[in-house]
Amino acid sequence: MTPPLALSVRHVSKRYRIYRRQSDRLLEWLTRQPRHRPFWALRDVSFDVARGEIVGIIGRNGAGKTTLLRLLSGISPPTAGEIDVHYRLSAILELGSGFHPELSGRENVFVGGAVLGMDEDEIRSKYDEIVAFAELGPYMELPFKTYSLGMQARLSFAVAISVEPEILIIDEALAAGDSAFIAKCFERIRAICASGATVLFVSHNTYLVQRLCGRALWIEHGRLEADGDPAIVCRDYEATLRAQEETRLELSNRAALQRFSDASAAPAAGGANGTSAPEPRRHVWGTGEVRFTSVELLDAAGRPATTVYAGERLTIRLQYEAHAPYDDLAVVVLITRADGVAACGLDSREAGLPVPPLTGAGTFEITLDPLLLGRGQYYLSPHVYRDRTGVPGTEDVLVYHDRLYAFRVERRGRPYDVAVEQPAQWRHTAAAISPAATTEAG
Amino acid sequence: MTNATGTWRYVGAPATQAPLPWRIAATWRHRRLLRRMAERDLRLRYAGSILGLAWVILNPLIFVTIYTAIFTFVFKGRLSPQAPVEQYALYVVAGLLPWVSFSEVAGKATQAMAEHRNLVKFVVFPIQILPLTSLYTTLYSQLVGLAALVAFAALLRGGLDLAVLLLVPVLALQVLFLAGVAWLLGAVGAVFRDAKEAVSVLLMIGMFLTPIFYVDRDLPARLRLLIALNPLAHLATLYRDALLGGGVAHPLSLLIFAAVSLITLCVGFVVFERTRAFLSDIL
Repeated sequence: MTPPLALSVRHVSKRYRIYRRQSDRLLEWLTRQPRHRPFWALRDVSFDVARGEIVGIIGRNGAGKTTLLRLLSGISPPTAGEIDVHYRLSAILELGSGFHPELSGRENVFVGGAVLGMDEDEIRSKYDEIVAFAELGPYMELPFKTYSLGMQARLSFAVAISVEPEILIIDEALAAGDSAFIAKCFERIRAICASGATVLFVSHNTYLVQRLCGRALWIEHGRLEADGDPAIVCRDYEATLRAQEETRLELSNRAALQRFSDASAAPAAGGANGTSAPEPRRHVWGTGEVRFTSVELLDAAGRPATTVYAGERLTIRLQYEAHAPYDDLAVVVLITRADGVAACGLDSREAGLPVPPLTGAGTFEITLDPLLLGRGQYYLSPHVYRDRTGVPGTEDVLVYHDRLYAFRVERRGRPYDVAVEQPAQWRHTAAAISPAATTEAG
Repeated sequence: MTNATGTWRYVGAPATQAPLPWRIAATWRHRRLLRRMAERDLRLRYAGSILGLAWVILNPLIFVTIYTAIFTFVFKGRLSPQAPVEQYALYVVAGLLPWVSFSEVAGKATQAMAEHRNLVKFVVFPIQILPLTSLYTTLYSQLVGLAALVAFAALLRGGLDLAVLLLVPVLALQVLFLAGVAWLLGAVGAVFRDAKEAVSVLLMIGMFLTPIFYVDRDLPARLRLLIALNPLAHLATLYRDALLGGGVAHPLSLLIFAAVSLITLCVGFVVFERTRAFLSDIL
């Protein structure tokens, strides 16, 4: 049996009218002559959301995400298409609606709760729960303006989340607040979903979307670009961002080079590149003579894992099928941090492993013991080269999987966010050590 | 101004639209939220002051007391050569009170939507109550002021008669009238930023076109016609009939004001309803 629908969106478009001047609006109305520039914020978007789903919506600034939410929540009417909403809906497109800095925390809970559609008795019965969730017990009688930004965010979110809607729409609401609070919010959102509610969650942060959502929608230039598994959708989205960034860099480099090398050249030469062509989306490339059939991470116990712990053993297992009868092969695995920093490169040549000509199926196992990476999200990019010349940078790529495999490093003990888990030995002596005992450069 | 052909609907909600009186009456469902928002506005206005919400009562009390006292003891005007001085004082305050309420509601409602822009754009919210918050807060002070005025009238005239009961239907009509004004100006003020300035100019002119400090029978006939078209003049007349002991001395005024109130209410509501579809896009 398929679960019942919560939302149904059919061929929805939204056009805004952009007026250069306020008076144009009046003139257009009086003369019935168009005086605006149409702007299509959404074009022909269709999707269904089943009851109980957690759907993430990603996309760049101005792609149409917030417009979509405003249409879904009924705040703004669609220009074309149909939106059917099947259950009671609550939308948090903005945290702290109705909140005012001069009012006390307590008064703001009541006003904010009323604004979100709760009645007086409902708020009163949930008041203690809201205060407890926000962890602001002693401060509720103080004016809201005396709160820190984090405290304000906590109270706003606590009020917002206390509404018990059947459909909850959240726009970037989790951006504020410390990570412990975000974790708590996630827990609450999951609990809301477990009770059968539907959640739509908009964020720039693909990591949050992947952690929270069972499905992702990607809005690009007002169109639904992708709809599916968050890992896949987010990967494609990030790939597009990267490709665009590369294109941008390439263009600016080329422009710089041109300015530098030939200042007198006709300016038209670079003009053709000014328009951005559709960006190539590349995750896998190479000659195809080697094919990875499986890439796995094994934890300390040898079990396949996507979360591994710093300080423990991590094994990367690459299985391949190949027809690469060359004796100059090199296998490299690059580990990139979520923020794009290359964390480490594992190179068979550096490790002193001679790679024989690869034909048929086989397996490489790379053991990192102990794993020194700090807590965070990482991506694996395994690749195989032909290193004909031995000169770095001139290798031929047989296969390259660009950041296709994500994993997370966690930390036992305190949740420090550090780049490297540097092993260290400590020693304490309950006496001063004379300077002569230390080595001195000068 | 909008030609949206798309639809948004709650599945299961009745598709047919209720008739206008039902739609207007549905606003009643949001009365508690309206009270919350109005109280929030009041708290904000007096936030940080020592007397706080006591000012909600003190303000109109002081206002009515000072005006009554000044026109009784300082200016000593007379409605007619034989009329007592305190009659003119009551005449002025009874005309001033509904005018002040009207201008307060008109001024605030014009800015209500822009002031609560975030609620309009980003929250699923019954925005039709936003212009009404000013009506709610104004009614507080109007009622306090009216109570004071009734007390002064009893004091100065040595007792009250049944005519005071006329205030009940007049107040009810006044609420409907002001609600219509609030919706109309709320919508207009949201669409045109200039409305704020225009309304304050019109209020200034309107004040002089309303017989508050003068008596309209002293005016030339052409001006009296203009004043007869002013619903606020009829409202002032009804207040005076109630407080100065005339009873239903001007049934035509009552009829005209009742008709104007109902028409204003319906027009205001319909204009607001038509505007709200695209309000969130233009604010």
